Amino acid sequence: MNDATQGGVHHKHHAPPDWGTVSFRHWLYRWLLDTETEGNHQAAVDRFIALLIVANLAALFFEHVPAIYGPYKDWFHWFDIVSIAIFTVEYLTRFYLAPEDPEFANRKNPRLGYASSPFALIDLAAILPFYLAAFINIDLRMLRALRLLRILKLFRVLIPAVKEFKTLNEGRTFRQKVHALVWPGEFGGRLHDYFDTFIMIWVVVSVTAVLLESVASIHYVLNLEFIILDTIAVGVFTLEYLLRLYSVVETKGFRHPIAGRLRYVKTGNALVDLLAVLPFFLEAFLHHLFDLRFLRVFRLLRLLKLTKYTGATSTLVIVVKREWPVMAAATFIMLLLVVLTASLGYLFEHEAQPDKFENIPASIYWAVITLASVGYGDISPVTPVGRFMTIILALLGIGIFAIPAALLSSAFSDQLRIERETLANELYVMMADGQISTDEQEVIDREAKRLHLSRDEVNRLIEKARREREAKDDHTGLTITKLVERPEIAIERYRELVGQMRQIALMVDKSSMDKLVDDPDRTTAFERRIWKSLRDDTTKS
Amino acid sequence: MRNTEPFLALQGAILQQDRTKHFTSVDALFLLFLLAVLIGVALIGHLSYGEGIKTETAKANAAQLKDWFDQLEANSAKGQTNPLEACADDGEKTWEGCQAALLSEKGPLGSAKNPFDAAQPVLGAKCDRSDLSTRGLVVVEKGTPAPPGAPPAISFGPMENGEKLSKDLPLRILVCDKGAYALKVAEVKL
Repeated sequence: MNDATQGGVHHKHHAPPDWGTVSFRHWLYRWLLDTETEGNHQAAVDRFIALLIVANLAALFFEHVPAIYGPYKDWFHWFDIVSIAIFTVEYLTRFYLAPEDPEFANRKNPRLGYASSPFALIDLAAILPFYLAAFINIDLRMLRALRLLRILKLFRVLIPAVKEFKTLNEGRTFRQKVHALVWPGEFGGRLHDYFDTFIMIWVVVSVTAVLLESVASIHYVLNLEFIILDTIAVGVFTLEYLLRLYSVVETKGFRHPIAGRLRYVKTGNALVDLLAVLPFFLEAFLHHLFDLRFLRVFRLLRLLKLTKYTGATSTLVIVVKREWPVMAAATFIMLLLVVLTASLGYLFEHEAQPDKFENIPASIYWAVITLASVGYGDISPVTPVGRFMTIILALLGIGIFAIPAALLSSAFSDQLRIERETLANELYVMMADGQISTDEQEVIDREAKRLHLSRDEVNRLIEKARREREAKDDHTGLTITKLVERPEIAIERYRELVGQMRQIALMVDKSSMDKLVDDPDRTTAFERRIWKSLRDDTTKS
Repeated sequence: MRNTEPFLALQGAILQQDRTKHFTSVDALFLLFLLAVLIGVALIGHLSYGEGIKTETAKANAAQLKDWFDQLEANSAKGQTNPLEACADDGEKTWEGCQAALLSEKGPLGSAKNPFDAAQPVLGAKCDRSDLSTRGLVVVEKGTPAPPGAPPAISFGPMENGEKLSKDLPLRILVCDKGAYALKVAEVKL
């Protein structure tokens, strides 16, 4: 996807050059800015600059809240200076490295070409007001407004992604394009990644806002800001929900326009997406009828939206499903023990403490707290029999309550092992052609991230797959009985042997060989016929 | 029997045409729906913001009251004012008299209005979630010192109109928000 096309030829560097082997400028460009070099810092630089822009926007927002800006004025000022310093260094670095950039390298004056390019003008607009303010008396509010120009820097990341998205989706329908944008797949490209990042940022921002809202002193000061944030977050999440609902029919298994969408609406992810926005609408429409303030806590469910972007929860669901029969049995034993304990507690302690062991349901609280080894101590037995029973139950509880936890933990690691083995099998298939393509590498990287595998572990798995593949290809050690069971290998072995025989016929002293072959004590008639045929064939050639 | 073949052929042709188009009428309808929903969200947000502004106005009323009490305390410390005289000039020194002083033209709440309903009073006895007419009220509660060692050190509760005021009486200023929930603004002393 990142292949650069110049004159129809794809150029892709596999690694940045070593220090000292090329000029410093070329080395720096390849390490920091070259989009065509794999394993350099270009993506990290882009990500850092994008985060800094988002942080600048947040700072600009909070500067308008006197309760925050007042006490931390100096922090805001220093953050602005540091941001400007970083943006300036970025601008100057790009200016210095312009002759190395293929976009400007062929110009008469590459640096002038860079300075007059739209991206460079945007970069300059982001930092210039700060420097101008040192010489010209600019109104502070005007300066803040000009700082909004820093948002434009995001276009440096967005425009190439949009171009790539357009290329990938050329000739596709509007709905297919929407699908490519919101669902993971081969047509999404970097724009899909940015869409996911955008949603994730809003999930984190809105959940943080919900948590801070519960702090009375913060809510008192930032009430209006929280309302604005929540409205924007709901707007973003509603847009995402509707885009997914509209385009889901492009996904296999959801093809029918109505039944497919209904099926999607019932999925876990869609329900989470709906619950993330529902409190906002319910509170708006029904607040005159009911006190729906309690619904606000459900906004924390937005955190579940992040589960879409991690494989951990799906692994957990698989584990729970797989271990459900055993877990159900353990839960049943647990429930049985809780009810029995509560009943015995009631039996022995009710007379002594009628206020605490009032009835069996009330004793269940004590039973669970005792069996789970929590032991708050607010309710405790006072009779000798009750205390003796508590000792036995506490010891039993350690074992019984630990079973489901142990089951889950061992099943979880077992599932991870299975998934790693699946990856190993996939690697084995990928190694059929002896090498790993770019697409295959992407799949490996994605799976490695999901399974929390380090680079070394992945390399080990690849090496193992390569060795296994080579061992399979090497069929010389196979016995005849094994060989005849697999004609596709048998033919290879046959050709190999015939080749070796031809080689012997070509290189051997034919007259000496003729004498030996003609000796009836040494060879059969069949073998003599074959030799003759080989000799004639090699003599002709 | 009606011949449906031409109709089916036409329908098929339209569907075929729709499939080959990159942007169909259904896409346009979806975009319109999306726009309508987003406008709806913006409108709800705007209404919510309006309610928030009303709560802020009520908070500003309460803040005015707090500033007035603070000023009173400062003047009292300098010996310039007797806070009881300033707050309740009815002779009896009751909360009713103090309310009259607070709501008088010269008082801190003289020009204040209840932002949620101008017909409702500005000053009230308590916030009641079951009674939305208490929204926007500024509430002043009196503090009663708890017995030593019992947390919290001061417990606050509503004041009756005939309640006698005393010097250094701890007061808590609250405001009732859009759901008639009490929001604490400040604690002051008379």
